[in-house]
Amino acid sequence: MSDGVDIAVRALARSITPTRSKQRRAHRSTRRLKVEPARFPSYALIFDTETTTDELQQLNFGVWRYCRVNETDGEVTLDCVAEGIVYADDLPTRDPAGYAVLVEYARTRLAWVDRDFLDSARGLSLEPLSVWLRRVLWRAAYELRAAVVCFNSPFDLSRIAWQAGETRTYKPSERTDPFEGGFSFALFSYNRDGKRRESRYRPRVAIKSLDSKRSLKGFRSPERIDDQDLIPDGGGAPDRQWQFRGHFLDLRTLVFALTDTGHSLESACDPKAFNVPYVKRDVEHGRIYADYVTYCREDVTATERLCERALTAFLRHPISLQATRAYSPATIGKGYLKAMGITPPAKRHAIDPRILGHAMSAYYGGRSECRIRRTPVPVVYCDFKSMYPTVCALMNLADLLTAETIEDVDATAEVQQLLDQIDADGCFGPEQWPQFVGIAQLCPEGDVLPVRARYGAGPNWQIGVNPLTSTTPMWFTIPDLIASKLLTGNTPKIMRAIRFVGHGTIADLRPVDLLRTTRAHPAESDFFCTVIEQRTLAQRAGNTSASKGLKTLANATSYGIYAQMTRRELGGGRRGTRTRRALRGWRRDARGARRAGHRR
Amino acid sequence: MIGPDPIGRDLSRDRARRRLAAGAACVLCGELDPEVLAERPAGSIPASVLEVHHVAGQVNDPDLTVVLCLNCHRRMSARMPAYGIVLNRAQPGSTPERMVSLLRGLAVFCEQLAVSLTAWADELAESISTDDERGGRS
Repeated sequence: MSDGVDIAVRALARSITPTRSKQRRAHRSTRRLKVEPARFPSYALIFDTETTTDELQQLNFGVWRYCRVNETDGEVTLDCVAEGIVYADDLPTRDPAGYAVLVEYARTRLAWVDRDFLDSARGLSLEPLSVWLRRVLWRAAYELRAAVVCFNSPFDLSRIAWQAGETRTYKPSERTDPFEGGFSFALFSYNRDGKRRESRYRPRVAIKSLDSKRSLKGFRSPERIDDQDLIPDGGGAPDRQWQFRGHFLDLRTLVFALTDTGHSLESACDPKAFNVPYVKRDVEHGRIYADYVTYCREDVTATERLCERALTAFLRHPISLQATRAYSPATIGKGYLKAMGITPPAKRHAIDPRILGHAMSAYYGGRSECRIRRTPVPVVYCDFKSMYPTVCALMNLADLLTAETIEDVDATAEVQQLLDQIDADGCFGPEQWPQFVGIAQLCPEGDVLPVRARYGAGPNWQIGVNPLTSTTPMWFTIPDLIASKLLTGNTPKIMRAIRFVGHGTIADLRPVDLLRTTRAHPAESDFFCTVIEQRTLAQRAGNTSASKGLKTLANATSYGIYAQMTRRELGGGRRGTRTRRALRGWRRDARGARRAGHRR
Repeated sequence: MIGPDPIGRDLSRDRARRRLAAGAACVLCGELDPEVLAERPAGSIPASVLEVHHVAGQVNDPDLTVVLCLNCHRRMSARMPAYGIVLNRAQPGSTPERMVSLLRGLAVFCEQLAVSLTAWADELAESISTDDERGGRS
């Protein structure tokens, strides 16, 4: 029998004072008309790097392509008008033989460019990194505001930097910095007295990794910015408050946002994904030879084609989100809600923060269970189609989503009665499911419930579904309590229950065209049902890409996005002022709250 | 190396576009090209709207000229550096270097000429079909 383990719950953390950036945004919105930025820039610079194979992974060379972006009838095309090879400044001395291969290669090959353009550069350019940064990256990525496209940007961007450090915020007491805790890379430099110095008039690039598929990327502020680079997108006069952060597109992230699957360049090009003709050459890495350079050029060309397909798929979503900001399927899902006029519920309803705190503490995400372990038994494969959106539809959650107001109602007696009477057969009645919307408080007595704890000796918090006993009252969702009864046969004894009831409908709901084909109006039909029905129709019609897109959208809008944790680093040992509400009497510092809120 | 510079060309167009309001156009002819729609201070109207354009650039061939309107002259001149045509030289260039600029200048000019001739042809064809519908032939 265990002596017990520490457990953790999610909490609702709210900033007491608005951040400086919010104040500034509010101020700015009153004096300038907001121009909706384009969903993707008109130009793109695509590059890939090849490195040494030792632990330093130093840049050997890279290949870049500069393209003009066109959209015709919903199809995006990238027309390449310049291509080149860039090599590390020290390559001629570090690897003279490799450098000679690059010189010979560039001299004897033409660029793979679109020759319909009179101004396309036919020669394959070859230049050292320091020249390329000034001539190509600076002009295209910053002055022209082209998209900088890579597959796995953090790696490639870090390879072209000559110095790296931690990001620093100049006025930490006044504003929070999304890049705090990330890396800051110096790209631009100049030589004086034989010493390399960082250019103060050109920005660093900051990268903050969020997880294996996503990262924030952006230009930092240089000391001086030309007036013409202070003109916001959409034109007008220079604005000292405005800052260009760059358009960095990591295709790995965009592909993940569109498919909900992590891909390599090769798997993303597969016919089952984006169907880009691409065969990866079998090459030896680290040594520079002609086939290796061709391999890199083919990689960049495949990246360009993949970018076309991914952008075409992305632009089919009728939302105002920029491609460089699509970090996950959830971002696209939120874009749809915004397009339909569905504002975040927290902005519409005045539910007591304590109730929201209780709801947050009851949130554990999806679950998977294994009741018989380490014993071979016959199994039957059973697939539940569109689980998340189906559950949302059964529980009528679309009504809550579009409700003008949401009310929390005490329903202790009704919920206890429901728990007393419910059984497995009862769960097959769809009419029962709307009653499952709510949370209840109890002191678990061996009930099988989800719990976040440190199992074993490791430092990580993990979620398990196991018999739980606690003298501290805890909150759980009604479906979790029903599942416990089905698993144990014992009825949980609740102390208090709250149901959430929606009233009215948001006045200015708008229809959207799912993937620009089928109209869905949130005021006229259940959005979750519509998406799943359309997905099934697309599947039957053999339209795989539409079917996959709708599946991703359905899951994105029905799971997770209504309980978002926006992580804000304080850094530098600073402590912020936050209120936290979860279990009565529990208080944790900001660091503890963040640990407890780690998503599975 | 003398050669086309597509990034430079796009940068020049984009900066010109950025300086103007979204959807800016000439009030007289409806011109949309941002390279043509230069901001001019009030009262600084040029003396003539017709100018002499050096097809290969004056430094490369001072005699090869055509007469263009102000807009077209500006458009051609703005494009030439991006197509690799050298317009400013401290010293006269060698014959091969000037030949490169001359050929590129002719290419740019012929490209624009093709666009203009096509537009003229389209306008003429439309005029003929309109006359046919009215039942008269000129």
